[in-house]
Amino acid sequence: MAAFLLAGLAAAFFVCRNGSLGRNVMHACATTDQTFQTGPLTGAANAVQQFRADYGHLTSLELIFRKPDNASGTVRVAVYDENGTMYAETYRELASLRSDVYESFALNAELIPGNLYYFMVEAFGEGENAPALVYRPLILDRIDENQVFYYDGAAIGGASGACRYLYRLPLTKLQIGCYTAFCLFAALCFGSFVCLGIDWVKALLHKKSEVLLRSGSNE
Amino acid sequence: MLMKKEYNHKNLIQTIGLGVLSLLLAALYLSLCFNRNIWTDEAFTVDLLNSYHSFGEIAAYTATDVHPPLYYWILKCFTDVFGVRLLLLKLLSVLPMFLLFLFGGLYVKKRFGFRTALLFILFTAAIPCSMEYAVQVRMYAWCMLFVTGAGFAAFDAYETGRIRSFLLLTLCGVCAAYSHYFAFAAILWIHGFLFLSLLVRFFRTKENRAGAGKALLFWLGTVLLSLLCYAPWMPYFAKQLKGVSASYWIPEITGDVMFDYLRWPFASDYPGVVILCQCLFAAAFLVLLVRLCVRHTKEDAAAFSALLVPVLVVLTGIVMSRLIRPVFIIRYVMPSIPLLCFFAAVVFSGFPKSAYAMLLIFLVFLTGLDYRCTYYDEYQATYTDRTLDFLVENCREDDLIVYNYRIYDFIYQCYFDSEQLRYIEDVDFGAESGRMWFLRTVYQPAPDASMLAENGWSMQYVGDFGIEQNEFWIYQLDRE
Repeated sequence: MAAFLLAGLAAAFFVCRNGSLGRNVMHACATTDQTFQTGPLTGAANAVQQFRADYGHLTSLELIFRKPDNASGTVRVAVYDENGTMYAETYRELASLRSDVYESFALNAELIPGNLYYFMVEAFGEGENAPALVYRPLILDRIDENQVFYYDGAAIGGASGACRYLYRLPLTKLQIGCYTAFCLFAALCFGSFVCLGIDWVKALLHKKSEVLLRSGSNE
Repeated sequence: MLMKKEYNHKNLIQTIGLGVLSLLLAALYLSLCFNRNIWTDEAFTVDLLNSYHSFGEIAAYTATDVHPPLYYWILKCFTDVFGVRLLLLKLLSVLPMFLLFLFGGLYVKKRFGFRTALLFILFTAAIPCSMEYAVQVRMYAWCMLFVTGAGFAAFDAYETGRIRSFLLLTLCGVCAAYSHYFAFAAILWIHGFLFLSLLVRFFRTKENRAGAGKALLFWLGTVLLSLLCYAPWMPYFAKQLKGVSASYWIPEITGDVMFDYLRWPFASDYPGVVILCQCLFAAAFLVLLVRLCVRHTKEDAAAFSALLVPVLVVLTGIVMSRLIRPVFIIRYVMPSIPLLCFFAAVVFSGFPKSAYAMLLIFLVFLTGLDYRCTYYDEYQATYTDRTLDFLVENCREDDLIVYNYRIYDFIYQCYFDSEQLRYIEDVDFGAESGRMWFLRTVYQPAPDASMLAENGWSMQYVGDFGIEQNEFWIYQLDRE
């Protein structure tokens, strides 16, 4: 039984270390309802948004595009810090993106909360049907959180990319306690069933050997 | 003699323990009530209590809605004395939860033992859906009490055949049926199971056939008495059914929606919780199936019936939605959720001591997580307090509160004086002269800047605020 308890602890350690069971928090920047779009996104003319990280783990970024129906090629989204160090990048096929709805880009970037970062959006191989990124005017008192939005190297004053940040929070003590207790419970249940099974097999073998012994002594 | 004394002492300690646990959980629920946060359906309840002043008026008004009136009558009994206060209404939802923990726990202890009772209380408190609905100004907490009471009374009636168990079944059943139609559905299934069990016993038993026959007669009496009690509401029920057939807001039940039913009772902000709870209940189901195949005890049969009640309520909802129109949304299964917890409690109470202890710890942590989520929802998820505090501080008696999100009209009315409240399109900017606080919701109509300028109004952004799930920006409008 001790072995199963240890296995349960190991499982709990693995689950809690993994971190994928952390709570997700979505942050959307405070913008008005007006929408605008950038010019065509290409490898040379990209859109860049400066933002301040709210939490440490940026799971994904959601962006709104506008694109012609027959657009083809790839969109690249990457996160950099102020020194140009890349933290994460991801690609999606243009054909899989829809216009005017939030599309998710998985990043899993480890950031420092409170620090400034940039995400860059560019498109490749799109030919003449390049996509555009949607942006919106910021609410004046929230200008600090999504600070500057650039298209093709030029800042667009008071604007923010229409984006949402999905962060994953680290596990709390309550969560760790909950998951550990569950892992131990599962391990102990499994252990009990295995012990029951072993006892049952032992009893069966004992019965058989008794029958054999009895039949041997009769002969 | 000594053993009996020891047993009594232990029994007393266990009873006190369950009582204390019920009190602690009720206190936990109570701590979620001290806020001014309500959502649409709760606003409906408040509005109804404010607008209709007699029991007859309430019944007549609910007849035009989709629910039966008992819950509103219960509230009415208290608001007549203490007035329509949000805190009181929330406390009246915690009360049945306390009664459910206490009497449910004590009954389960008596019939199934202390271990099952402890698990029953903890499962009921810890299952993520229960805390959320237990503090809402809606009928779900009362329905949970009535349906669980009916379920336990039915088991008791089967076990003992006592007339008072049948009477309790009638009382709980009628109350449930007068509170929510899907609590009514649960009651119908409970009656069905009791009838089947009594019928099987009648045909199987050889020694006490008269007793079994008497129990069947009692059951028939219970059904007739329940029908008699429900008869006055039947015409309204038929009217409501007709109204719902014509139009109702519930979306169509698709495959995805049905798949989501498996997630809903365990839904939490913490992603792991759903998976763990699903695993736990799936394991309980498998263990029960194996146990039912290997041995057949009355406890396991009761657990299986208890599991079937919520399942069959959902199936009833789906079938009715197919036959009439979508009338079922998964939260309507809430009244039967304690029976689901009872099923799990019976199954796991037989587990080895160490596993049982670990399960208790898990449930305590789960309750903690659930509390954190609900606390956030009740106290921090909205800007309600901030908005109300701001307006209390800044809004003068002759100021207008102008809004542009029409469907929130009756929710605003729960918070603001209707004399001061005005929809944007009803405001005459040429004639008004006082100060206005404009609650501007995005994507909703807003006054034209040039029109405001022409009439001498200046509009200044004040900040981000909100009421319930409706977030808006407040602008201050002054005429220069």
